[in-house]
Amino acid sequence: MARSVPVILPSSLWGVRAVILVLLGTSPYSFDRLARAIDELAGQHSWDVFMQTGNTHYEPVNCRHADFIPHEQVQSLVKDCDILVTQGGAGSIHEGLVTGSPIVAVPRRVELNESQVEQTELVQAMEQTGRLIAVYNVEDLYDSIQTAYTFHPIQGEPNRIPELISQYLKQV
Amino acid sequence: MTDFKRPRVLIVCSAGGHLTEALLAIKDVEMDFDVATFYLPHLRVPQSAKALHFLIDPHISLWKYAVNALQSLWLMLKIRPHIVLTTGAGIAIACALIGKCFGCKLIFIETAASVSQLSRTGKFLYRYADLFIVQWPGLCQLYSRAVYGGCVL
Repeated sequence: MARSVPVILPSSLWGVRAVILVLLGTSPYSFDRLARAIDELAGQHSWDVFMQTGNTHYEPVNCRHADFIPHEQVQSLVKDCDILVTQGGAGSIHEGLVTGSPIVAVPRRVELNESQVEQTELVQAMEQTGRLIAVYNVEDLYDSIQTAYTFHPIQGEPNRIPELISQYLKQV
Repeated sequence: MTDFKRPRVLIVCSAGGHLTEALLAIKDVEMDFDVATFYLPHLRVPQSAKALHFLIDPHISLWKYAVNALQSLWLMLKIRPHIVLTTGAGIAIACALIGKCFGCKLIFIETAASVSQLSRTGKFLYRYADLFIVQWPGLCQLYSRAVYGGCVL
């Protein structure tokens, strides 16, 4: 029988603790591809998943979910999760980078009407510097999530943008 | 010591990632600032912000751009900033241009998402920006006035 209410699966009871947080960002476009893929995997593998769906229309049945939750709650979920699965947006990725959680990032694609702007380049660039695991095809999600358990993201180099702005403000 | 008058800055950008990047970009910078963005549930700005203003997100609608332009004009008259700072996207174009007419300086920080080419807003505002910062080095070769600042993420 199909389940109609989201159920929190107590996977930790039999020793398989898999707490996965999914962030789909604030884009006005729907990102059904990722939401559906995670939802199916969560059902198959009894993962404990929380998904912030944002403006995505797909309604998960195997995950706890909400459209938007307060930022402090996002931060504490990111801190406590084992793996952060996210869209390829700067804001969502940043949440994982600050806590050092393993990030699996799936870029939205313009040609699939998932975004107005390209996310692939950012995800590729961050993948090349070892800061996250990139997934371009949702069929690879399961393997990438398994890899993510032993993934240690590399710290980024400090940027000097605040310094550039400070300098400029003193000039004008 | 001469008096360093704190400049008044208007940060205008889309909510979500754009705003996250803008707030990271001004981390520990001494200035008074207002934030203008569109409404999003649970939106929060740092306490150091003087005020939070809302503009309509034009997205891809021309008539919303017109509404946004009127709102922006009102906002700019009310705040009278010295500097407009933005990370995009379309929501910020009107404020940036009105600012230029009023003699404000424009700081544009290209989003981290633009690695090999500028965003549409970036391309458009490049010629008007007084300080144009990019987060990936490759863009400096294409745009000579762009300053590489590293990635805020």
